[in-house]
Amino acid sequence: MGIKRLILDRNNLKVFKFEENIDISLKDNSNCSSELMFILSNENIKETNIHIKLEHETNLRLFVLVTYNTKGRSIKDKKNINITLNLLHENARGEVFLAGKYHSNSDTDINIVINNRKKNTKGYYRGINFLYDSSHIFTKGLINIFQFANKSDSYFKDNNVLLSPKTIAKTSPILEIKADDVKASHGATIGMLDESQIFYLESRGFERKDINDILIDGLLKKNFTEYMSDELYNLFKDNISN
Amino acid sequence: MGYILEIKNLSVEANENHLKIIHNLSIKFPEESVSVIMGPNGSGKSSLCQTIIGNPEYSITDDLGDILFFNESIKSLKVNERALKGIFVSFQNPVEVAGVSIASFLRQSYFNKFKDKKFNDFKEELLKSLELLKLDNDFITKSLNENLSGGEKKKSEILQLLLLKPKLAILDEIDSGLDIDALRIVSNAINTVKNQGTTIILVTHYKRLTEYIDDIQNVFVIMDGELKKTGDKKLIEELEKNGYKAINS
Ligand SMILES: Nc1ncnc2c1ncn2[C@@H]1O[C@H](COP(=O)(O)OP(=O)(O)OP(=O)(O)O)[C@@H](O)[C@H]1O
Ligand SMILES: [Mg+2]
Repeated sequence: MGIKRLILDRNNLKVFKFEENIDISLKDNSNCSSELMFILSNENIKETNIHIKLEHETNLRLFVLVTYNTKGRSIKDKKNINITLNLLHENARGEVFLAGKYHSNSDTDINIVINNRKKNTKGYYRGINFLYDSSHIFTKGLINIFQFANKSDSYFKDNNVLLSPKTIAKTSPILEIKADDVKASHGATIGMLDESQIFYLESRGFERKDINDILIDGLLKKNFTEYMSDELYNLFKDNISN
Repeated sequence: MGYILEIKNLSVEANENHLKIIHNLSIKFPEESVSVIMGPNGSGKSSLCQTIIGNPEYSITDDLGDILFFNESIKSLKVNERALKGIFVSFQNPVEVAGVSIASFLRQSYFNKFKDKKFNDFKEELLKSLELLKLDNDFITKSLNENLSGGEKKKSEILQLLLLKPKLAILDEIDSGLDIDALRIVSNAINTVKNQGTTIILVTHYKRLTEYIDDIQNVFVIMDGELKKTGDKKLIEELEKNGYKAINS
């Protein structure tokens, strides 16, 4: 398996359709601030590894959209999506947003590692997963704040929406903190769509199946697309409609 | 003219704790009228409103009990079917729906109901309604009820009412949380809806709102889930002066 390397030394805005293995480096002293999006849509690939290295003063927002087309088909293999965010130098800031829809009996493991290696680094993860049919998902989040990485700030937030009674979502956050004066937090939700919201929309004449779509779109917006710049959002829309 | 809504021997309990909230209640609301429901806190007013629209948190306990809309039982209809028949119930606490803009919500609910209308019809009515409620045009870019003030949430309910033009509007404490100007603006909008032929049922604690609303015909006082007194606008004055105690004696 080849590894694609992406070395960025100026501002970038890109949308990619699936890479199996990718190393992303944002280079030192470049004052660069990039926004990238990966669309994982090839259901035949079992493992995806995304390695991110951020040097001094760099800034990355990465959006990962999981849209495997497994509707109505039985899936044999477990899938792994591994994302490592290495905050190598001071003042590096990385944000990873992941949104996914999972169908049939697909089984997906998502591993998120955030390494705050130096002072004043910031690493954030926010995930929103929608589980249909009898899909399973297990998200692990590890935040590692290294010794001397004081004033670091990181979080892991994972939201899972169960759209069928046979789905299972698990989430496990771990914080390892070896420095002082840091902020690190985690939060996870696993649940169905909100009954009071469903009832409110029904009372205004909406059909149940439309309500699901509306509420799912709303959650997707709140946790994912709302964080995109307008430019990236437009690129993403173009990409999806192709 | 007949009755638009008839509550017949209705008994209701909350599913959660089987608390009996409404006991053998019967009230008739004439078509194209304005009625007011008053009563102390916890007397069952909101539960009644929610039962009419079909909130699954409540159950009708007695099989004889019924809710008739234009003489037809609606108690086994789904919530959205009741809405599409022309019943609109505004919520005392409107639900927040993150990520769904007021604009797209209004557009979809409008075209759910008025399938043959054009986008320009919608836009025109929306702009007119925003103006009537003295709301900025960017109000509709906000998320539905999310991070809105109490008063703004009430205006968002009335905005939906103006666009959906139901046959019956049941407004549960639409006046609570409104400042003096907003109360006048909202009352004006309710009068507009009424003049278009919508029957209005107001649930309120205050005489204030009823002073701004034209042609109030009936006043019903509910206490402990029972109808305790029926009257006209003068009954509101009496209640304001003597409180609910005077009614029981
Ligand atoms: N969903 C519910 N589950 C359990 N109890 C409920 C529920 N809804 C209402 N109740 C109870 O039923 C009673 C009537 O409540 P309701 O909200 O209908 O009163 P209300 O007349 O609207 O009061 P207010 O004037 O304060 O709005 C209260 O004792 C309340 O605690
Ligand atoms: Mg109430």
